[in-house]
This record gives sequence, C-alpha cells and structure tokens, in this order.
Amino acid sequence: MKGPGKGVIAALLNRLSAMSPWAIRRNTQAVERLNASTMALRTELRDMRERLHQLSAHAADSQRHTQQLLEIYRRDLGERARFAALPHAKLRSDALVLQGRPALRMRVERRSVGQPFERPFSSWLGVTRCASSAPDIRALWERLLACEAGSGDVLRSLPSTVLDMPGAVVSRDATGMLRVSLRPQREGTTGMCAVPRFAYTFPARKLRNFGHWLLDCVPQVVAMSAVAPDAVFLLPAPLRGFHRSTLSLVGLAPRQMVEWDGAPVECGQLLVQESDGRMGGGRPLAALAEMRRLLARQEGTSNSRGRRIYVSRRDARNKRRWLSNEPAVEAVFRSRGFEILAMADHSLEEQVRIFRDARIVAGISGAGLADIVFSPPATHVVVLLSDSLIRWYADQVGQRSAWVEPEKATRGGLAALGDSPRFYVHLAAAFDQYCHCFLGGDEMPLDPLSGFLDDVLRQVDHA
Amino acid sequence: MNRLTSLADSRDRLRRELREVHHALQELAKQLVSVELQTQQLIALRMGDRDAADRMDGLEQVLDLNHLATHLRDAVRRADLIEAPVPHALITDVLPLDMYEAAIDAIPSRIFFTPRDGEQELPVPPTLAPLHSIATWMFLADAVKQVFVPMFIERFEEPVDRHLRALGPSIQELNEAGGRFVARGRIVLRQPGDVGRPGDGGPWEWLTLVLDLARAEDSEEFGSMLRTSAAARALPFCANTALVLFHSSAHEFVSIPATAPVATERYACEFRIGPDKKTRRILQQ
Repeated sequence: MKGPGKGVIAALLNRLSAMSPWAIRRNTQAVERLNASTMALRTELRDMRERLHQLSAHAADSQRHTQQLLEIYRRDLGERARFAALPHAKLRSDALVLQGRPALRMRVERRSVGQPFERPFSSWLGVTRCASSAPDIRALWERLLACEAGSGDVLRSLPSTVLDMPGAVVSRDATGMLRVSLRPQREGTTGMCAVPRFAYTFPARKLRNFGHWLLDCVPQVVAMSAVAPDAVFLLPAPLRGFHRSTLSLVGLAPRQMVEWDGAPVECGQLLVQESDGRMGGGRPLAALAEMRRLLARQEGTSNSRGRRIYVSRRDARNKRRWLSNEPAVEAVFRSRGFEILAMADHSLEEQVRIFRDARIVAGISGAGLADIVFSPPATHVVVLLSDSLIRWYADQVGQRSAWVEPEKATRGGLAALGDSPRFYVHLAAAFDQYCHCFLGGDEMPLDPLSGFLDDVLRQVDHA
Repeated sequence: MNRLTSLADSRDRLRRELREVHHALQELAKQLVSVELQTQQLIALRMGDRDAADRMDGLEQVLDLNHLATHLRDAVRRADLIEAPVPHALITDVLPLDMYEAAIDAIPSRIFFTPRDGEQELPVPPTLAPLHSIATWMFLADAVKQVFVPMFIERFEEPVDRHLRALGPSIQELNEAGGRFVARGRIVLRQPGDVGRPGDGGPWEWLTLVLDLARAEDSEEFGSMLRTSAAARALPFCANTALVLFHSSAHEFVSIPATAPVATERYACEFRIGPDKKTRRILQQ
C-alpha cells in the first residue's frame, strides 16, 4: 500500500484551513496522539524483532549442536557397522581378521594416533646430479625425476590407527594372518597386550635389516606406546640386540618386550595396530615425526654440530655393495674433511650421538643412512646412487618400481615414490633436512663426484 | 502539514518493520522445523542403539552370502530375458524370504530420507540410520557387487556386447580388461503427489536393478513402467521382485496421485551397475 499522495495532503490542509481554531486544535491533538502511538508501536516492533533475532540465534545454535551430535553418530555408526559387518568385519588391513559375534565386534574402538602429516618437499632439495654414462640408467633417472615433479610437492602420511578391544585371544597363523577372537570379558582376565603391525605383516628378512627396523617398525611401537604406555608388546621372535636397544631408546621397558611365536594369547585388553598411516609405498611419516619429537626431547640439543660423516658400506653384504670403487669414493670424501664410519662398529648410543652432531651426512643409499632419523632439522644429507641400485629398484615389483610406469606413480602423489631410489631424499625432506643426490656408475666417476661434493659444500657453507 | 507527513512516514516504516518481523518469523519457523527433524533423528538413533547388539546377532543368522548366491542363481535361471520394450528380466523371489524380511525391517524411518527430484532417497548403504539398517544394507550392497553383478552381466551378455560394440570394444575386451564393476545404490521412497520420471543413469551405468520393497500392507498399485518411444510395459509393485534392465532411461516409477491415501508409501531400492573407472579407462583407449 502506498502512503497518501501530495494531492491528498493538500486537500486535507485546505479542509483544515477552513476549520475553526477549536477544530484545528482538536485535530492537531489527534494527530499528535496518533504519532505517539505509532512511535510506541514501532518501539514494540523493534523489541519484537530483537527478540526474534535472539530466538533465531538460539535456534541456529541448537541446529548446530544437533548437527554436531548427528555427525558424531554418523562417524560412530559407520565405524561400528564396519566392525560388526556381515559376514565379517571390514578393516583397513587385509592381514587382520576379527572373529566373534557382531555384538562383540561392535564394541571394538578404532583409535587414531597423532596428526596427519604434510610437509613441502622441493624446498629441501639441494644439488641433484646424474653422472651415469649408461643410457638406460639416464632414461630411468629422467623418468623418476619427471614422475617426482608431476606428483605434487607435498609429502603426506596419515595418523596410525589402533584397534582397542576388550577381552580377546590373539594368534598369528602360518600365513602370517593375525586372528583376533573376541570373547565376552571374563573376570580375572587382566593384562593389556599390544601388537604392532610389523608383528604380523612384515617379512622376517626385513626385520633383520636395521634400516627397515628403524624406519618402518620402531615408529609403530612409538605410535602404540602413545595410547598404551604400559602395554606388553608382542614382538616377532627372535628379538636381537639392536631391536631391544632401539626399543629402549623410545621408552619401552624390558618387561614390555615379549618375544612372540604367534601362539594364542588371551588378553584382558588387546590393542592391534591396524595401519601405521603410510601412504603408497612411503614410510609412516606421521609416526616417524612423533618418534623424532620423542628422541629430541630425550637427547636435548647438540653443542657441536660441525661433523662431516661419510657412512661406509664396508659392513654390508657383498650383493648389496652397490659400488666397485668405494675406497676411492671414501678418499674423495675424506679429502674434504669427512670422517669415514661403518655403523656396525658403533653402538646405538654412539650412532645417535654421531648423527646428532653431524652437519653433513653422506653415504650410498642403504640402511646406514637410516640413522638420519637421529639428525636434527637443517642437517645436509648426501645420497649416492649407482647404476645397479637403480636397476635393482626398477626390477622390483609393486611400489618400488611404480615410477617405471609414470602413470601409475603420479596417481599416488609423492607417497607412491616413497620406496623408490629417491626415498632417502623424501625422508630427509620430511625431517626438514636438506638433501643432495648424486647418481654415477657402479664405478663411481670421481671427478664429477668431486665437483658435485664441492658444490654441496659451497651450499652448506653459504647456508 | 509536517505532523501529517511524519505520520505517513511512520506508517510506512511500521509496514517495513512488520515485513521484517514476518520474514524473521519465517526463518525461525524453518530453523525449528530443521531442529525438530534432527531431534527426531537423534531420538530414533538412540532408540536403535538400545537393541542394536541383539539385532546384529540376529542378523548373523540371516545374512548369509553363500545362501544368497545359491538362491539367486536359481531365481535368475527361472527368469526370462525379455527384449521389448528394452532388454529386461523380472526376477521373482529374488532374496531368501528371511533376508527379504530383514531388508524390509532395515528400511530406515522416512526422517532419514532426503528429497530429490520429487522423490525421497537414501544412499545404500545409508550413513545415518540405526546400526542394523546400515549393517543390513551394507551386506546387500556387497551382495549386489559380489553376487548379483556377475550373474546379471552373464545374463545380459548379449545386450551388453551390442552396446559395447557400438562404442568400439567387445565383451571379450571387457573381460580382458578385468571387467570390474561398481554398483551405485539408493533406497527410493515415493508418496502421494510424487511424479515418476525416466531414469537418469549415465552412459556407463549399463544395468539397472530395481527391487520393490513391498510390505505386507502395500497393494500392487504404483509399481514401475518400462517405456520407449515404441512400446511400454507396466509392472505391478510386488514383494521380493527385482526388475533388471539394460540402462535406466527406459524405467520410471509410476506417479502416485496427490489424491491417494496420505499413508501411501512405496519403497524400492535401485542399483545402477557399470564398469569401474579403471575398466572404463581401458575400454576407452
């Protein structure tokens, strides 16, 4: 509706001017009263609108809270439905079987340990050089680098997940499959057992390798300790000296390290690591980061960070000696102030100190370099690769050779290259360390190597 | 004159403010409807929790994949492949009776459905519903992928091959490509006033499975219609009966007139079946 037009008001004024003074006063008073009541109405309306806005804000809060509750239900129901699923539980590991009635399975809880891991990659890259004369190796190398460049620039991994089960019998069958049989909790059954992932789905030969142990297995124990610091860990037998010493280093007491042959064990509470969070062929970077934080807290900071270390592979088995002229290579490094060390000659405590104190760590890709996990951020890591090492990776099946078919590799992002010849480069970047890489023939060309090393040292000095 | 003009202005402002109050009231009403729905959902979920353990143990006796596979093989063998109006088969007694009853029992309350194109729908398996509903439909979704799809692809080999050849590759190439399939499922709820529309499956969703979820109280009215420009076939709404057809565009649910009894409800589950991304990529090369 429109208000009165100018004509109407003029007509009213005409009529008013024709009125007696008494009538004018009366009409004026009526208009004033109308104005006053309109003002009062407007005030009331303003109050009402204010109240409505407040109510609306309350309703929006309620809506948000109920929505949050529904989201919690959605997550919880999804988890419980997957655990209680028929005919069997849907888990994130194919090597794990949950047995028991659905009503028991739906009591399983999945715990997430740590935070998702995301770090930029290329900003940690230093000098990269290929001096191989073999055309096939140069082609493979180019393909690998192209794959890496096309895989995004972020190193990623997920938090570990641990299944928490009240009352269970755990065993490992002949195929390595972990079987968990859930039972109604019986009185008197106590004890919390923890089964890290490597206890049921890791090749025994890799358990004997220090590098795999340190980079793949120990972080799993660290992740599980975060949710069960007092649990007894069921660990694959036999436990060697370096297994025990590294586990002690991350805080496990000797009574918590139990050698396990896979025979059924009844536990009052069982924790099984379902996933260590690694993506593609990569390492469990989130758990490794947690392990580094733990070690840094224990060790404190180093006062002498000037050492230059070359990790020799003299202690490696013959078939894994990737260079034919390692003494000459060592001489190149020695001439530039590097200490030449074989890790087999040093206790774990010494290795930790050596790597913590080093400014530059160099060596041929292999288990000896795994100790960079003990090195602080901004350490420079120099990785040497040879033709036979590249060929070995290219011949492997699965993730190790994914980069040979670039289409496969780039789909998984950088994680798909996490077990390629470049894995130490990725690992160093994940640890906020600078990484330099040199690829040469099996008889490493010494002049190009010297030039590369001088360039690296210039960068280190400049930094 | 000033007083009169100011009175007119006041009246206009009053009207504007009244309109704002009216608008705020409408918004508040909408919010309250949403809170009411969410609260109803929470109550239903909480109530569902109380007997979830017993229901799940009960389902273990019923949801047996091997039993289903044997039963379905017989049911599919009994069904004829009819070419017109589009290649289709009507499979009666498709699920073992106790499994069908479990599926009916696992249809979540209508408060969990969301409106879409004049129907209400819920993905299969649902993500928000009582636990036994999610578990039952999770089982059925797995069963469709593992048991139904291989049998249907075999039964519809000829039309699939024809379709593939029109695109380029043959069914032999499909098998060589690994022939992995996906099945996208939903439960559809239709009510009075809902108008049937032709299926909107994508070109790679070759087969459509429609399983009528008729309850004891449902009549055979308001089933499905198969329609092409040349011919049509009406299908009644029948318990435990599955319609499998080549592509979804020829299928539509029959409209339920707004004058139908208010309590009329028709539930059906629908799966669109086609090659997975990897198989598609290989076939397109």
